[in-house]
Amino acid sequence: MLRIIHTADVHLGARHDDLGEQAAAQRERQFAAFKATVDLALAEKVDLFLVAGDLFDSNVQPRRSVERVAAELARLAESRIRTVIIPGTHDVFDRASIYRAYDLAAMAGGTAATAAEQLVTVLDPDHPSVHVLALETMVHGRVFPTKRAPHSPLQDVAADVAASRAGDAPITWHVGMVHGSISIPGKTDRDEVVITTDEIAATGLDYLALGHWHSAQSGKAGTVAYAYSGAPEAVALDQDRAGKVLLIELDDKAGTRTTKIDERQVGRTRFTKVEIDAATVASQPALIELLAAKPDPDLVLDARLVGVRRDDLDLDLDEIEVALAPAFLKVRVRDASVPALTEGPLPSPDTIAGAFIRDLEARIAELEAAGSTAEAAEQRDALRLGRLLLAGHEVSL
Amino acid sequence: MRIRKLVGRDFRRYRTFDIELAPGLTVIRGPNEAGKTTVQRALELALTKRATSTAAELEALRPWGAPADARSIISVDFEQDEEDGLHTGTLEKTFAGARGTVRLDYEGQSITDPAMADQVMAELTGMPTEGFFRSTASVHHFELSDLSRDEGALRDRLQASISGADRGTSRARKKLDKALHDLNTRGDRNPGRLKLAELAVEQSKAALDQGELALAQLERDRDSLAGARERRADAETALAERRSLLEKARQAERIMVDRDAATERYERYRQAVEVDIEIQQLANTHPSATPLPVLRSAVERLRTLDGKIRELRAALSGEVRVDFEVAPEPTWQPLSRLAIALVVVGLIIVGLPVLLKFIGVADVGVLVQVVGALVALVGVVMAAVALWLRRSYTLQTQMRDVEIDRRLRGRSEMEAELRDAEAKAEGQLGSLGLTDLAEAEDLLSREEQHVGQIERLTGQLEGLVGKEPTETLPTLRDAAALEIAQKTSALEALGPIAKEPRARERLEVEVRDQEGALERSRDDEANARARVEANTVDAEQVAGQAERLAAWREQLSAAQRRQRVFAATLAAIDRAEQATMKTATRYLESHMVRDLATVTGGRYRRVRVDDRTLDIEVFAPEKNDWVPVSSLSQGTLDLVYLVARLGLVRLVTGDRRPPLVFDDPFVTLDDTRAARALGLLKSVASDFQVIYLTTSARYDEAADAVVVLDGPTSVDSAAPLTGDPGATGASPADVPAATGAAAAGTGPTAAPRPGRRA
Repeated sequence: MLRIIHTADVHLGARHDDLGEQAAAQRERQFAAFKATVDLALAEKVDLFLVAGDLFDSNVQPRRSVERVAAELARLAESRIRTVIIPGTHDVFDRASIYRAYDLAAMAGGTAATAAEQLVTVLDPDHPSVHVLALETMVHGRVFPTKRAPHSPLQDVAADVAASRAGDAPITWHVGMVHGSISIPGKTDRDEVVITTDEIAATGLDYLALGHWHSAQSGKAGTVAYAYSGAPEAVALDQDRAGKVLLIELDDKAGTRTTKIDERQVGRTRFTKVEIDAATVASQPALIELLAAKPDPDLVLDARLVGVRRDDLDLDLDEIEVALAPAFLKVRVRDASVPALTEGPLPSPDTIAGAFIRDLEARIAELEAAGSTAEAAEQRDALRLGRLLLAGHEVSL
Repeated sequence: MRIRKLVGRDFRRYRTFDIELAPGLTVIRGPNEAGKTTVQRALELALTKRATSTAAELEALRPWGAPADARSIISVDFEQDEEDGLHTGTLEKTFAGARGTVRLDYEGQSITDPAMADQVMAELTGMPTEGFFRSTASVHHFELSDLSRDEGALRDRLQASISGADRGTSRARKKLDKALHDLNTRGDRNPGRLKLAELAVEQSKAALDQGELALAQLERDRDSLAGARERRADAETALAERRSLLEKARQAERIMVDRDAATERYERYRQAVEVDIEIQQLANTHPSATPLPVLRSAVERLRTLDGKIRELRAALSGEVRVDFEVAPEPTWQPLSRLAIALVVVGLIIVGLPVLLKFIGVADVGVLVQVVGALVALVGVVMAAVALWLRRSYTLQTQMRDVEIDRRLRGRSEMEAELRDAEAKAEGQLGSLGLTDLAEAEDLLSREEQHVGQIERLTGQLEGLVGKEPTETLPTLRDAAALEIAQKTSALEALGPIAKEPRARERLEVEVRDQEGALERSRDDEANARARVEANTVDAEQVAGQAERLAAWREQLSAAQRRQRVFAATLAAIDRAEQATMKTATRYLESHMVRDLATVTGGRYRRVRVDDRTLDIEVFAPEKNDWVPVSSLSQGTLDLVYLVARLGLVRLVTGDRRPPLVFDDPFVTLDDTRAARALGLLKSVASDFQVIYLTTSARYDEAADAVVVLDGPTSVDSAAPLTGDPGATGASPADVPAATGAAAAGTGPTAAPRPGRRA
């Protein structure tokens, strides 16, 4: 039996433009998720630790970051757990590659006299596979020195696997690694690295570890089981199935081979989007109370006010975010609601308020008819503001 | 809306007051300081002021000397014409700063929320704000005269009135202007939010750009480093290859040297073998059987014997002449003596001056010593000549002695010797197998030549191989030949480089060049590495900059949106104001025309108000042209303004009818005009409730009700009396006393006597 931890897309050092002050904390969480993955590998006493690309968010990550990763890999090496890493699209193996700049294997103390005995292996264009003698396993991971693959990374794998099975080498398991997209016409077929399920089926691999998609998902092509582990910690707001790594068990019982894929949670950050009908919000404190009802320090809460808002609802989004900040990892409150048009009978058109309201409502109708919703929303805000100001209400500007 | 009853407590100079008002025109009359303005203010506050207002003015409402916890309270009873009939209500406001309270009972509802109560009151009166009420429906006597002095003030007032009608256009504009100003302020010292955000975006962007540039540079530098590393590896490979070739070339050179040596050796041994064979042949073909030394001594003896035989034969065949003279006296002795003498004399001549100088007798100089030395030298030469003479003399003596001896021997002896010699010569020749000396000489000569040949060859052999044993020579020759073959095949094995002429020199140059290239590529690599290491950019810090920029951009865009919204609001208000102003001015014109004609007795029947400037002009019949109202008399101007106000009230309140309060605005009018104005008020009073405050009784007749207020009574008896005693009544000093009286319950509470005209 061969037991594997499969992760990918850790994106260490990623930028989080939407997280503001919390971005640095999120980067720490990404590293923490990687560390948790290593902990899981140690606890599960797996044989093989695979990182299917984009371990780093870019090739220019600082030495500090590489050293931290190396320290984690060293823990695996101490426990004789083999690590195989392939560069991805963010940390592509070009001439400026981070894997060229730093010898991760050496830093992790995972080098050995022969490739087969190495505890940490970074596959590169010149070394598209590694035969892990101790595990009777061949790991195939064709990578390219360019972001865009000149051909499918699975092109030669089928032949290699077949030749190896026919040969005398003591190889029981063939595991593949690819950082790229499975072709979905009109969606991913123009991606930088694309493979097809037919290609996967043809490889004859026992398992194909995929990276590039940040949400965990698995499938089977022919007899070949494949899976995306997803990012161990979410990298962007919409990655609801991120935060997982995969524990893979390959077994051969009386000639029948089975592949078991288990999802394990390592990431903590969750993203929730809520839409709140502005009409139901009575006041700013009420909104704060509503949002603060379920505090969660691991949650990035993206709240959006929608619908039509009452005139007297005067919200200061910054204040709300500040008030909610202690309860969440990050709160983002956006107001996509629009102020109501004027309700009830309009004042006489002879009055300024009457003329004002009629003028703006006509403009709003025109803009909304033309589909300029953003401008229309601004005009609605102007309408509300003027209406309140002309009525002598206190409005915070 | 009509106010039926106005009650106040702890309000200005009153502890309490209670005034009933007529639905039509009520005249409230009293001398100065009787509290007319206080009544007007009480009405304004009751109708428009928020009960919770914290305005400083309200704090001053409390009467002087009132208890600390006293609160100014105003309550009104009112009635309102609605479509379904007459409704009544009561409103009570207690002003206590933020803790003020209100209670409005109307249509069965009781409202205590201050804002709500004001809203309902605004609905009932049509007066949205205090400002508007004060600028239209509540007229102070000084306002007309003030305004008339300044046309601009009049215009402002009118505009403010229209704006006020829409519940604070100017306030709205002011707020928007301020907000826009706050956003936009561009000064470095006091930047607005927009500017702050723009600055922050600019700075963050600059920082980010710098970071991104550094990161891009890092990528380029790493790329260069990878390239430099490859070039260095290539250079090392090329150098290793050149060095290996050079080593081969050197090896080839060594092998060639060895092969040349082997070839030379082979040649020598080959020659040596040939010479040796020749020597062997010569050794077997000596002309003489006798070895050469023996032969040579035999021939020598034969030669001696032959000489002796010929000598003896010659002696025996003839006489030999011999001289016996005494030998001459030897000549060498005197010469030797002279030489010795000269030497001695020379040495003395040399030595004497030294001695003389030494003992200090005389210094005769070097010349004498030179002469002495020459004398000694001559002596030595002469001694040598003497020695040579002595030797030749001795030789001569010996030769003469031999000759004498020979002559003394006898002839027989000579013959015996001759026979003996001939026998010996015979014997010698016999032993050699020869017949005569000539043959012997010939044989010796041939044998010497033969042996000489052998010796020459032996010498040649030695020259070729030294003392090498001759039997090993063929072996050594063959060994050399084998070595030549081996070296040749070794050269073949080294490849074409071995055959290339001057390959080593070429390769040495190439290796030097390649070493230089490697050195350069190492320098390049070191430089590239140094550049990479010198670039201290931290991707995570750059990420932080990007994130800050994103946050600032968001703020900037929010600020820009606010700016757009504010600007749009302001522009829309401006447009609305322009549009309404036109309608308002037309409306004003139509109402003013009617009222102006009434109050001016038909003198002015045409009015026009400029839409933009709000300048009012009237058509003057005597000039038959439009004239600005500023050119009219003060009284007329007051009337024009009064009708403008009334027009405004009608314009703004629509179907609502707020009570109109006039604080004697007609004080400057002559009696005729005043009567006309009063007539106007009378006609207005059929529509509006009118409260007219005055010191004069001239309006009593027109009033539906007259309320008389008493003036203050206390005087400051402690102050020194100066000048006009009448001024005492108006002196502020008496007011506290009057208030004190009011507080004691003897003041105005009892004073107003509501009266109603039948």
